[in-house]
Amino acid sequence: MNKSLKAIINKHFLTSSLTVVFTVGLVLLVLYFGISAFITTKTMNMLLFETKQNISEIAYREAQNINQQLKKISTFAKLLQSEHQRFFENPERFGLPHGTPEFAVADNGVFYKKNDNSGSSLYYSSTTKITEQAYQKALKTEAFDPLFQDIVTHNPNVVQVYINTYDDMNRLYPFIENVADQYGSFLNMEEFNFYYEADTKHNPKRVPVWTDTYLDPAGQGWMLSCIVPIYNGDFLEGVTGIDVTIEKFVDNILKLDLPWQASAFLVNKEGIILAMPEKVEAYLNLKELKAHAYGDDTFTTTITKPEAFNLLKNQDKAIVAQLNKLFSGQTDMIDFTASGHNLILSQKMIDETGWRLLFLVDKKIVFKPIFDLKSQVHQIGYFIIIFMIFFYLGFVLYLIKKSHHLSNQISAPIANLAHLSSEMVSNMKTVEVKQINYDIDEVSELSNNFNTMIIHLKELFANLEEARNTLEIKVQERTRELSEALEYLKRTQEELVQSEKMAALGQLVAGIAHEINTPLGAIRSSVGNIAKFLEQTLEQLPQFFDSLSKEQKQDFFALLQTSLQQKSLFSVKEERKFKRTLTRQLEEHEIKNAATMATKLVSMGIYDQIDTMLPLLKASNSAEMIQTAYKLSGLQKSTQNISIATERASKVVFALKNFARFDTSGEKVQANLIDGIETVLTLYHSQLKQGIEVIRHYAELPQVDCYPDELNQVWTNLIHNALQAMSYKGTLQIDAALQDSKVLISITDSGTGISDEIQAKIFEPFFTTKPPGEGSGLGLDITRKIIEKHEGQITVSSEPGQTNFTVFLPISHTGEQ
Amino acid sequence: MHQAVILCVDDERVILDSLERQLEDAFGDDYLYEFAENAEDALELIDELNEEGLNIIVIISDWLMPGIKGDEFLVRVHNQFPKIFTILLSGQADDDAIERAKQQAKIHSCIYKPWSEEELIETIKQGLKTL
Repeated sequence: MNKSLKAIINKHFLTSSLTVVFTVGLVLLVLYFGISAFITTKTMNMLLFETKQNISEIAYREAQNINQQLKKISTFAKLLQSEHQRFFENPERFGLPHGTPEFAVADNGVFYKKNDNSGSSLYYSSTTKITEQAYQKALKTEAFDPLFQDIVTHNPNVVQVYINTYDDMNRLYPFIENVADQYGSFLNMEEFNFYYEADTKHNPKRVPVWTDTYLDPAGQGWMLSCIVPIYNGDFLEGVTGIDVTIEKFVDNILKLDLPWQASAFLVNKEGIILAMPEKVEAYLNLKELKAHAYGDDTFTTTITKPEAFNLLKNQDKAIVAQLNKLFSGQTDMIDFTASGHNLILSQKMIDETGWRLLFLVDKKIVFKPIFDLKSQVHQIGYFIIIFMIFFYLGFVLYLIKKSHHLSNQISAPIANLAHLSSEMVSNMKTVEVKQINYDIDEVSELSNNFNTMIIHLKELFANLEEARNTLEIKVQERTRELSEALEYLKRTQEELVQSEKMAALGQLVAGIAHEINTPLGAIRSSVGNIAKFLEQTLEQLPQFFDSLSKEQKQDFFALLQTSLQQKSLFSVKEERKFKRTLTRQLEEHEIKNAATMATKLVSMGIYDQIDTMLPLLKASNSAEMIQTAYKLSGLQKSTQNISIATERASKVVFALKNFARFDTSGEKVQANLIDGIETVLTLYHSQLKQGIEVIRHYAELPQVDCYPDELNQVWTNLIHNALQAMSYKGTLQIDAALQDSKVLISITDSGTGISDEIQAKIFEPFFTTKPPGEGSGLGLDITRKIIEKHEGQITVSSEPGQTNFTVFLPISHTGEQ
Repeated sequence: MHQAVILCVDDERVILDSLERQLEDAFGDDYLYEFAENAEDALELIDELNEEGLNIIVIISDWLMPGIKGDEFLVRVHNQFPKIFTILLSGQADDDAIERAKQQAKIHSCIYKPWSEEELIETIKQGLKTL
């Protein structure tokens, strides 16, 4: 498809500019986002590594810290152990720091200290009988209170300090009001973990040990105790303990302000949670039992945390599996997934107790700055994209404008030139030369050259116009001359055609003369015969009949009757055979002049069955009777011959009349082509009968619009040529058929044929193969012209023994000459 | 003595019939009259008649006939039987053919159709005199 120059320039300018700019923009964007993604990933890995390291360090530090604090408490415990053991070795050395307290026995039988003298509370189970020794122990152990008080006061983790004796006495600082109600009527110390875990069996080394979390009977809630056994020699006097509440741990130890909002929590050797902030509980899907509910009943044994608070018995098996890795000691840090959070879990052992300090960090928080940065980077990226879109929009508009301008600059002058050249094509004379200066040198030059060309062309055109005018006059002259010449030629041609027609007619005349003269000869001789009969025989007839007897008359008339009724159907040759047979028969009957008699009888049409005629033939006047019968039958034969001959002659005359019909109207008439062909065949009868077998294949044909006499000339020419080609011996086949809207006449001879080289020339005027004088060489030329005048065609095909000329003629045609 | 024969050759039956009547009328039973419809039959007949011992004295032949034309037929007859008196009876014959017949067949004369009976009979009589 053709495009305008402007469109092409526009398209190429825009595509080349935009492709580059779009590609660069796209590459930059891909780079930007690619690098951003790369940096983000790298930074995340780095940050994760750093976080893990930091958490590990912090965990270590905090574990150390807790360890130290616990150690400090252990140290206090040891201090208490040594002091209390000294007391039991010699209680007398210790005085009463707060004076003598008031003891009383409560309603439930519990012996207790009644008033708070800034010291500890005291309780003796109702099951213990308060002996003097027991009373003294209750009184003298008042000496423990200042140290108890110091430890509690100076150590924020410590909530209470106590001693429990084997005889179920409890001294505890700070003071508990209504201790009897609080503890209940009796306590068996050995039932409690804070007692038995320090006994000889559990703690043979007699060192401070830490209990598991238990519910404090003194009402302080969930509690840990650092306990030491107090021996007097090998006798276990009791167990002293320092209590740290979980709440305190949570408040003081675990409430650390850690980076990344990391959370710390404690579990014991078995995995039971010692302290855990609520945040961690949420991750692990637990509720730590920090709060405690004391029922109405006091309790008589250790209440530990339920198994649900064992980390390793968490209902979530995936969590347990991950934790097992930590607890098996394989590693100190794992990537931990819980409740759909990606976490880091780090552990450190606290040597003092065998506890584990665990740190939990949410990776989301670790990566938050990176994600923030990433989203910022993306925002910037999106902003860039938006900016680029606007930029490109502007740029495209700018380019379109620019390319429009550029293409205009290039194409406008060319379009102008194109317009000028179109004008030139339509009318050279009116083209005006416009001098316009263009910005582009080449275009400007083109325009100038074009203008120069127009000027030259206009000159040339003017010259041409003049030359044409001159030429026209000359052409007119020549045309007139030529048409005159043509007219002359036409006349000549018509003359030639006419002469050819006459020549054809002349050829016919020979045959026609014969055709007419032959019947004329017959008529003449027959007429002569009749005349002679009338002159000579007629007048003798009465005399002859008189001479005949009655029988002879009958026989004579019978003979004459037979003769007159007989019509000759036999050839001369056959008749001669009959004649011989008859001659022999007559000779057998001893009839005189048998041969002459037989000749006459046969001539009369009597070939055999002569028995009935024998009397007549044997009569003395038989010769006279036969002669008379012969004359009479000859009379009939003569009239028959005249009739036949007349018919023959009139047929020829009719054909001749048809053939030579002059149609002066010059208009076509409806005619039957076969009639025309038959006319020609009639005229050629004499030639045909010499040795030509005529085969006619005529289909039923409609009437055809034509010039019949001219077509007769065509058939004459073709048939005449065919006869000559066959030397008047052979087969002439004439086919007439209807093919579509055409009539097809085909004339085929069995002559020697026409060679290919001659075939090409046969329709040329003055071409002939006949000796000089025999043919004008115009026959087939005229034939073709006549057929063309009828808007038909003629074709020829030839091989030895079969030469065919086929004429196609339209049934009706509108063409006029 | 055997009868002499006058032979007529013409492809037209009416012509042969006419000739027969004219000859019969003129010569009666003096001669035998034989007829042939073409030259080939005529040649055959001549042979037969000769075998039968009949003497052909006159031949009247048409010129334009299917097959062998009159001039050629008469040339052949003349070559074989130069004594036979021959007449060419023609409706139309080209001059070359007549000339050829006169030269080579030594025809006595050429009579044109439609012929006059007297002329024909006179001609035959002349011919018979020469025998």
